[in-house]
Amino acid sequence: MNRCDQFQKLISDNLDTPLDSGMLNELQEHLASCDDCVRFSETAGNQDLILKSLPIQQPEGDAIEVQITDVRTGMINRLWHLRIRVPLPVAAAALLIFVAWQLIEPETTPSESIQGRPAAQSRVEYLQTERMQPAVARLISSNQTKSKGVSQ
Amino acid sequence: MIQEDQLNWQRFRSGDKKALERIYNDYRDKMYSYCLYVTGDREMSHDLVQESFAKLLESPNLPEKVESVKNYLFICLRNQLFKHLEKTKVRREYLATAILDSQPTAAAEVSCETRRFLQDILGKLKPDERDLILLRSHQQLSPAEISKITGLSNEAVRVRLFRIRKKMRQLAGEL
Repeated sequence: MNRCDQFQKLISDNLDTPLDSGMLNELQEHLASCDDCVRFSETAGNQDLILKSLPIQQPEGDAIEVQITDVRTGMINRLWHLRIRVPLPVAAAALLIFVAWQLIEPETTPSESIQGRPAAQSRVEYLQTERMQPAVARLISSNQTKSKGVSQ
Repeated sequence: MIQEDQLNWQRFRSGDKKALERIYNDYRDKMYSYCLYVTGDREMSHDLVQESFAKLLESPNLPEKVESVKNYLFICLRNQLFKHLEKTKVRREYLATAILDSQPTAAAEVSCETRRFLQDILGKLKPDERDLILLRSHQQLSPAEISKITGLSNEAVRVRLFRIRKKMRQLAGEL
């Protein structure tokens, strides 16, 4: 560090903590004959003032967020605890049961009868009927059609 | 103010969430401003302040007494800030307009010289350099307080401040 650097360090230190009188006198003597250090002192001082006067900014939102964060954190903690209490094999078994139930579940949506198949008949019943002797199946089907015709 | 801070801190430690709310209201804007001038990013600054207070709420090991609540808050905030900067590593352009123009009131108070300073000088420092000079000149923390917050020695803080001021002078000279 050359001599000017040392004095410029003193100028910088003086911005943070006032120098003792001995050092201050030494600095002032140097400044009386060094333009570069004088310019540094002026620039550093101006920039320090600009930094001090930068406006305090405000975020959007208000103090209530502290409460909301607390509640949210609590809810997240409770949900997390629920999640890890269900073991993986149990979850897998539950999923399989759900999928199997979906496959077996009778159709409940109303639909038009298609080529003699009664609309309200379950898929299982329909399959069973078709596996019965074809003649009996056709008889059941025709009875159902007749009763439909009578009621109309 | 210091005594009031200490009282609020002790109440918060005892489970009084309203005490934390008072601390939040006292320091939120300063913490947010500091983050904003370091990062140039409003959203990130907002998130960092929220995360700092969320960490305080979740922390099971808060100190019984703190020498300075403000310093403690800035330690928490800086930890979040530098962790986040380390993770993101994306170099975002530092825009004075992003900091000033979204708030018409703040923009009215700010001179052209300040805008230029933000954009051409502060914006060209590294984040850790902005951090230190803002803690000193904007947040008005002493070198001793900065030393406690950053973990640097008192003399190391002074040397770094000197180097930052020299760099700022060079940047001003280039304009």
